[in-house]
Amino acid sequence: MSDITGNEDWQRLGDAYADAVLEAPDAELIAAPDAATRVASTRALIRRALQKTGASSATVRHAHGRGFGFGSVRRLPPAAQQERLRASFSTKSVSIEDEEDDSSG
Amino acid sequence: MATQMTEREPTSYAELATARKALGALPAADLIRLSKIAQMRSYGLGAYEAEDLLSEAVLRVLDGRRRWPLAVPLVAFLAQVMRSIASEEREKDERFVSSSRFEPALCEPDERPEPPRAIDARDQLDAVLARFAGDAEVLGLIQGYRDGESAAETKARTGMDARAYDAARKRLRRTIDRMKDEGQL
Repeated sequence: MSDITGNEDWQRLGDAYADAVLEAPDAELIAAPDAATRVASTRALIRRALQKTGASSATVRHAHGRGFGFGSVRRLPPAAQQERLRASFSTKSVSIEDEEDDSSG
Repeated sequence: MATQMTEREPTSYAELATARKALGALPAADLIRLSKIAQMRSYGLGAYEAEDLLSEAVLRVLDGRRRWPLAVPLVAFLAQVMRSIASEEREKDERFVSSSRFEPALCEPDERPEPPRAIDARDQLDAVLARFAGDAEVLGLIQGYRDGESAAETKARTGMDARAYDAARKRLRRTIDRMKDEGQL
């Protein structure tokens, strides 16, 4: 079947890329020059979404290098990298309630 | 002992409060993964830039439209949601392209509808494939995805072992990242 726009093939290429990113080592991702920018903007995006959908009981905690598991493909960074993560990224506990607009319902 | 047919275990889904906590606690590496995947998935979409796509995916989880199966890592699940949203948008774009209303040649220049970004997908795809000309392993990997093969099937077809497959996957990722940095994507 002709994929005139290339959309289907592009989607499949996206699948290959997404899988490659999901399985990339944490250390390599964090060492990239744009890592801090990506972390900050994505974290802010999630925070906005949490606030938008109501955050009366959730607590946002900046992670200390913990993940939520990839099963057998997950590679944890070595202890030295964990220390670098803690030094580079804030580990302050932040409660969404502290940041919530008082006027929100 | 007789073997009994076991009932299929129901999928366990995260409570919304659990999803909220998990989203708020995603580690740096996973935030980077989401950012990169959003960027890739948003290419060629008329309605979404990368941040919009990721934001929409997160919102769909937070408002319950998409339920997070606990057996799937959150970052992988969000990647799937983004894929789903991108697919919906591409289908809309394709309907626009194939509709009789899209006839730019018949319009005055200032009346011409803005062509959907979906049309760029073929050019972008060709640009990526050209970068891998001569890299049979990466091209074999891409072909496997296009044909809906499992990783095992691709390895069997191409003769790659696990190490070669992982290396091809790494080259694919790094080359696409480089193309993005160069402004080619």
